[in-house]
Order: sequence, then C-alpha cells, then structure tokens
Amino acid sequence: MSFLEINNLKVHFPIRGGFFNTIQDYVKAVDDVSIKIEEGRTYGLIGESGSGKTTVGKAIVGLEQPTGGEILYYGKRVNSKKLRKKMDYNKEVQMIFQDVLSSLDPKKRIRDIIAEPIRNYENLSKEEEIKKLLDLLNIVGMPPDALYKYPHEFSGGQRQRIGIARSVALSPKLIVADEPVSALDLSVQAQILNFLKQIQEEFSLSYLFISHDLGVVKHMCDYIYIMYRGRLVETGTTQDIFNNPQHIYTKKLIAAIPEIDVENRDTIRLNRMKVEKEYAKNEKIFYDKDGKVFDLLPISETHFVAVKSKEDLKNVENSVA
Amino acid sequence: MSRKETNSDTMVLDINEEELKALSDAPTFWQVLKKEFKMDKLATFCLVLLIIIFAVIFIGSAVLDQDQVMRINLRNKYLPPGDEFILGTDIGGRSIAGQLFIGGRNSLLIGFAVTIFTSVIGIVVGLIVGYYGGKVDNIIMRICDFIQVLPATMLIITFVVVIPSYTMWHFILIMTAFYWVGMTRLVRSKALTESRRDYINASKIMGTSDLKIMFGGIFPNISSIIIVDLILSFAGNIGIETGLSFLGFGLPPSTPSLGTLVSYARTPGAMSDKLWLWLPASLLILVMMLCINYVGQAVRRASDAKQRLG
Amino acid sequence: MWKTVLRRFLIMIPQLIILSVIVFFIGKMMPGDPFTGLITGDTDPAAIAALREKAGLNDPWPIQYKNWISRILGNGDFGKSYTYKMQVSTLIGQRAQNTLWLSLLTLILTYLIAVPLGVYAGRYQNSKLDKAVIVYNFVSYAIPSFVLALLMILIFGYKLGWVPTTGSVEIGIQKGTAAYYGSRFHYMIMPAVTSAILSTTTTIQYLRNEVIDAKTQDYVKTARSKGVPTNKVYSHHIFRNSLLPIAAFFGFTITGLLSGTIFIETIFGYPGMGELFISSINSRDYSVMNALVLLFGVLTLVGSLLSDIIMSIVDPRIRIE
Repeated sequence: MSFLEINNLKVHFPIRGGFFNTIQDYVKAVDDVSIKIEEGRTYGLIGESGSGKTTVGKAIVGLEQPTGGEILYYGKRVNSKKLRKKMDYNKEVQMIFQDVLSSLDPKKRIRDIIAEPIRNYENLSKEEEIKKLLDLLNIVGMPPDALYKYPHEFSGGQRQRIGIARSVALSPKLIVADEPVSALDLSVQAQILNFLKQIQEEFSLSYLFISHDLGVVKHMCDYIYIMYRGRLVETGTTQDIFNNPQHIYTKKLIAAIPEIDVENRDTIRLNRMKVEKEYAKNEKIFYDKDGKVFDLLPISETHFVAVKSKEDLKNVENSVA
Repeated sequence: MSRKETNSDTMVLDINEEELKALSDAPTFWQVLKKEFKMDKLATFCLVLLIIIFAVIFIGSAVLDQDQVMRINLRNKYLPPGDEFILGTDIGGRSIAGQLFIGGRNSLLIGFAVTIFTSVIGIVVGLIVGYYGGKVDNIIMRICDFIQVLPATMLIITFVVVIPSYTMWHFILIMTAFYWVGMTRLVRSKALTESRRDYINASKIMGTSDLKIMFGGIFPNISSIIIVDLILSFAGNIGIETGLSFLGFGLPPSTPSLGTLVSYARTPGAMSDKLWLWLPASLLILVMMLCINYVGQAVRRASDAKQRLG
Repeated sequence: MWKTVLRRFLIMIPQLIILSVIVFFIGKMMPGDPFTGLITGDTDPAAIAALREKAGLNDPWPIQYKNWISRILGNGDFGKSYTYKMQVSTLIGQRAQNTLWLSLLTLILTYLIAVPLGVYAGRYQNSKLDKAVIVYNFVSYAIPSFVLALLMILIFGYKLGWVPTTGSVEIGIQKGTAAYYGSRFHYMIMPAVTSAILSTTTTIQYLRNEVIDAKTQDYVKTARSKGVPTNKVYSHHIFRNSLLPIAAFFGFTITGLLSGTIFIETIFGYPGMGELFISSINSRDYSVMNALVLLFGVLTLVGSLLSDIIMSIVDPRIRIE
C-alpha cells in the first residue's frame, strides 16, 4: 500500500508582462504528474535540467505551492501549510539537498544543525538530546567531536553525511533526495549511495531520488519515473525501464549513460547514433504538434508510456526491427 | 552492517563541551574584524580616538552641571580662550568648552537613538518583507521608493517648525520617519537572497517556525552587513542632526547640540576674530565623522571577503 | 523602451498626488493663510474674514485641496509672500534663476574634478595619485557640508581674501555689463566649488571601480592584444563604457545638489531657492515655504524619474519590473 500519493500535480508559474504587468501565460513547470510512494522502497525521478523534477520534489516536501492536483498522505490532503502542520507531515517527509554546503547554516554548529528538527518536534532534555545526536552521528559514521564544529570545517562528503543525519533525525518515512551526490567527487558518490541504502534498511525508509543521471539510480531504485518538460514520459520498474524502454526519450537517456568500455566503443557509438535517428523519426508519435508529451498509457501492470496510441508503439518496434 | 556498537551513555561523559567549542573556530565576524584592525593601524587609531572622545564627552558632561554651564552671565561675554575659560565664552558668557561637552553628548545620543530606531524598524520590516515577499513586500517597497524621493531635509525642517511644543523626542521621531528606509531596503535585499538558500528551505521542511527562521537563521547570516550599515548611518545621523541644529531646526534651543555651537559662526565677527566660538565644535564634528567613517570602512572590508586586507 | 518610460511616469503620478496632499496638510497646520500676506496695519479684520469665507477656507478639506491644487496648476498661484509683499511665484522665479546658475556651475565643476580623478585613479591603481584620490574621496564623503562650507569661507574668504563671503553680485555694478557677469561668477565660485567637492564622491568612486573592472574585461584585453596603444584603449574603450553609468547618475546628482542648496546657499548668503526657504521659515513666511517644499518635492521626483529613464536606456537590465 502506498502511504503517499501525488495525483495530477500541477505547478504553474505565471509569466508577467505587458503594460500593466499582468499575467500573460504560465510556465508549466509540472503538469499532471502522479506518483505513488510505498513503504521501504526507492523511487527514481529522472529528467534533464529544467524538466521540473526538482519542482516535484519541492512540492512534495511543501516548499512549492501546487497550482493543481493533490498530495495525499494516508489518504488525507496535505496541500497547504496548515494541513501539513496538523498531520505532522514534515516529521515524516524530509529532504536532502544537492548543494550540501548551502543547506547547512554556516553560522550554526553541527549540534544545533542536527538538533533543529528534534527541538521542533520532540521535547528532550539536554542529556537525551546529546545522546540522540551522538547516536545519529554514529549512524552516519562521524566522530563525536564533530558536534561542536561548523559546516565549513568538513569535506563535501562529510557535509552530506551531516545533512543525512539531520534528515533522519525524526525517523521519517520518506526522504526526497534531490541530486544528493552530484556535487560530490566520484569516489565519495558511491560511498554516500551505499550508505543511504544501509540506513534505508535500518529505518525502513522510502527514497525519492531526483537525478539527471539514470546510471546513478540504476542500482538504487525499485521504480523509476522519467520526466520531460514537466510531464512524465515513462514510468516502470527498473527492469521495465532498462530492459524494455518504450519512449524515445528514455532510450536516449539510457544511451547517454557513460560507459568505460574501450573495446566496444564503436558499437556504443553506433547505438547512440541509431537512437538519435530513431528519435528524429518518431517524434510525431511521442509528442503532439506543440511538442507536448501525451498522457501515460499502460502497457503492462507496472509499465506506463506517454504515447499517442498503443498501435503506434508497435509500429515503432517494427520499424526498428 | 558496519555500524560500530558504542555505548552512547559513556560517550556523553567523554565530551567536554567547552573544550570542543574552543577548539573549533566559528567563522565569526569578530575574528576577521580583529585581523582587519591589526592590519590597518589607522583604523585602530581611529577606533581608540573615538573611544577616548566618547568617554571624555560622557564623563565630562556627567560631571558638569548643565544648568550652571548654560547660565547666562553677560559680564563674561565673548571672552577669548584664557585661564578661566579654556575655549573662551559665547555671547551669553557661557563656557564654550562646557557647551562642547553637553552639546557633544546630546549630538551623540540623538545620533545613537535615531540609528537604533531606524535600524530596529529596518531590520524587522526588512526581514519580514524579504522573507515573505508578495503583496506586503510590494506595498512596503513602494512606500520606501516614495520616501526616498521626498526632499527629506526640507520636510524635516518644515515639521520641526509646525509641530507645537516641540521636543527632542519629536526630532528623533521625525528623523526616524525619514531615515528608516535605507536599513529596510538593505535588510530586505539581503534577506531575499539569503532566504533562497537551501539552509532556509531545510529549516522550513524541518518545521521551524517562520519567526525562528527569520531571526535565528537569516539574521545571524546578514548581521555583519547590518553592523557596517549601523556604523555608517550613525555617522550619517550625527551629520544630519548637527546640520539641522546648525540651521536652527534641529534640537530645541534648550538642548544644545554641536550644530548649535557651529552656528555661532554666523554671528558677526565670528569668522574674522572670534574663531573660538565655532571652530572647536566644527573640528570635533569633523574628527568624529572621519573616525567613525574610517572605522566603518574597515568593518565593511572585514564583512566582504573580496576587500579584506588581512 | 517607451513602455518602460511611460510606466515609470505613471508611477510618478500617485507620488505627486501624495506629495501635494502632504504639503497641503503642512500648510493647514501652519498658522496663517493666503490672506495673511495682505494684512497691513490699516486692513479691516472683517474684510479679511469675508475674503476668507469667499475663498472657501471654511470648506471641508477635500474641496479646499481641490481649489488649492487647481489654483497652483491653473495659474501658478501660491498666494502672496508676507515678507516680500509679492506673488510667491514671482519671488521664487527670481531666486530660481540664481539657483539654476549655481547648480549649472556646480555640475560642470563636479565633472571637471570627478572624471579625470576617477579615470586616472582607476588607470594607475595603487599609485600615489590613486591613494591621494582615495583620501580625498574619503574626506569629502565624511565631512558634513556645513563644516566644509565654513572652513572654505574661513580659509579662502577671510584668511586668503580671494573671494567674497556672502551675496551673489557686487552692489552697484551695472546689470548686463561684462563686469557684472564677472562679479557674479566671482561670487558664485566658492559655493559652487564647495558643493562640487561634496558631490564628486559617488562619481569618482564609481568611475574608478568601473575602470579597474574594465581593465580585466575581455574586450579590453582583445583591444590590447590587437596592438591598440594604451592611451587609445583608455580613451576609446574603457572611458566610453565607464561613462555610461555616470550618465545614469545624472538625475541623482541633480537631486543631491538641490537638497544641498539649503546648506550651501544659506551659509554663503547666496540668494537662491535654498536660502529663500530658510529665510522664509525664519520669518514664518508660510506661503513661500509651502510653495518651495512642493517645488523641491516635484523637482526631486523628476530627478529620480530622469535617472531611472536614463538608467533604463543605458542598461536594459535595470528596467522597472
């Protein structure tokens, strides 16, 4: 059962202009996006920059006000700040930020940074609080003396660990991770990802991974949502997406995953060119005349593709074969 | 699972809070400031000089009996500097030196009061409109635009004249009404940039109240810029007050200011052979302005990593 | 472009209205009214009272405001001066000329001082000249205008005796002769230099920073690497580009000058509008004082309008939203 449902989420930003600075049009940053989150599972939300994926994440945690659609937490609407407060929603849904340094207040000690959510929701004595903070630091593998340091004294990977410690402090159900490793060194990336997997088991967390890189989330996610221009183009289990991609955009993304395979580099190159050609040829089937993505159609129980009609999909396969 | 089993109860005891706190240097403004003043000897000199001037003025004016200083004694009219009156006397036979203490204290206090009032308004309003944005922000900013294009000096003078039973507090209020705009704009723009950063977003997600975010999150992060503006507007406010008092539209006549002393320059003969009447006060204002502004610039450099000397 | 100008113009209209309402109420708060100027020893109080009733001074204030503003807009009627026994508009007209000439000379001097100092200080950054300019700029920024003015009078007027210390022209010289204009210039030079010194600060600082910035810009590097002589790089490339923002400050410079005239004209005894304002206040000549506040208010508004318009022409990024 899913505990969080996002139905037909819309986030539209007005474009103002003209003589009286009136609303001329809207940027549809997020348009009709539906996501279901179940307990203990990991979801990927993939798209290029500007596709609206971060806006979806921000709307889920409450940083962005949805223009339309609904966010249901155990079947109850949490669209407004008041409703979220009533449900203690922000105790259960947390976020990890891409720009780690900017997400930690430079004027506060780590102790106060990690303790912020605890102080807001739990009434602990000073000793209890310290004990909890030390536990958290221990979980993220940081030494106890980190408590009294400032964010600028740590490396990028360490800072992200601190950010994670803060986000799990209230034992939330879901963590929205907005490109949690893209600002880190490659060697540290794997470390943090493995570590996120580890604490997932410990806290029976769900993750919503927001990333532009399919490669990074391939080994993390159970279910993947692919976004393009504010709409979902294809959703499915990781197997569905990687073994049986249907949308031309998905195919392009998969082909773009960097691979270090010197021997087969010509084949890879040819494959990429083939995907590129297919993209140009089949654009009409996947986007309407304004370049808008169609609505999702089911092609299996778990796998959905945004396409004009299912028949067209078969034609695509035939043409490629 | 790689997590080590540790007993956190004993760990609590292991931690010596003070020692650890001392180990870790905050990126505090004060340390940078100390370094900056170490590098800039002139700034240190200005700061020391200012402290001495302030101390002398406040102690002197506390010791002096204001009524006695301000008592008119025509027998001592226009005495040049000498043994009895170090800096001479004015038309009423009152000691210039004594008036310098009392006027200096009044001018400093007014400058201080106006700075505090305008800054408190500026910080509170600026933080609120910068953090929330939207319609209120728009309205407040339009008001600020308007106040900024008003001919402030003239309007202040006019209000000073038309207000019946005018006192020092009226003056402070009038000045505050016109000069809160600067700090408000500064704080607003800084709060706006700051509230777009992720640590503020993080605080919002973690359920921290807006008030706490504004004053516990944003405020400490923009405090160095506020301090710079505080110092510079302190100097500015002293300048405005003494200027208006010089014209005769600042403090009420019963409350002497440095500006009142400078205005003796407009009495006949003051320029050619009675320099003692107005020159000491003018020089005192000049020295204070130069020092405060110089200190302010040093603080500004410290608050901006790109400009630092040290 | 025109849209921006027009919109900026529209913003000014409510500002003007509010300003006029403020001035109107200040006028109401003052003792006396337009007819006070008519009162002489042998005026019948009853006749004045009748005049007051006829002029509608007992009407509710919105009607009074309407009448007041339409008299001003219709035929520039601000009432009569109590001290000078003449129409306020005529009186201000005479004084405005003096202020205009003084401001013009100040403007010329300001740019004559500021432009070379700013450019050279920027060009030879950290040289002795640059350091001297920084000191000059610091002192002229920090010194209160009335202190500077008094010191100038003391030094150049009394100690050195180079210039007269008060007035606008020597008494007894035939109007229109060369000697007359020479004498006016002689009287004007000191107040003009004083306020020029005070108003150079922003321009010098801005110009110096612009030049220092420009030195590292790509277009300058390109010009230099092409072999354009250094002097030409400065005169053709850097100088021109740096001057644009200075042009944009023009409106503010005028506004600053205007508010400075109150001090400068009073101290130098120069019969302009600023001096008229102070003397009208001292003699409680309320109709003159009221008219001057309104006039200065309008001029300041126009000055800032001018600056905004020039700024939006020079730099399209700073257009009003």
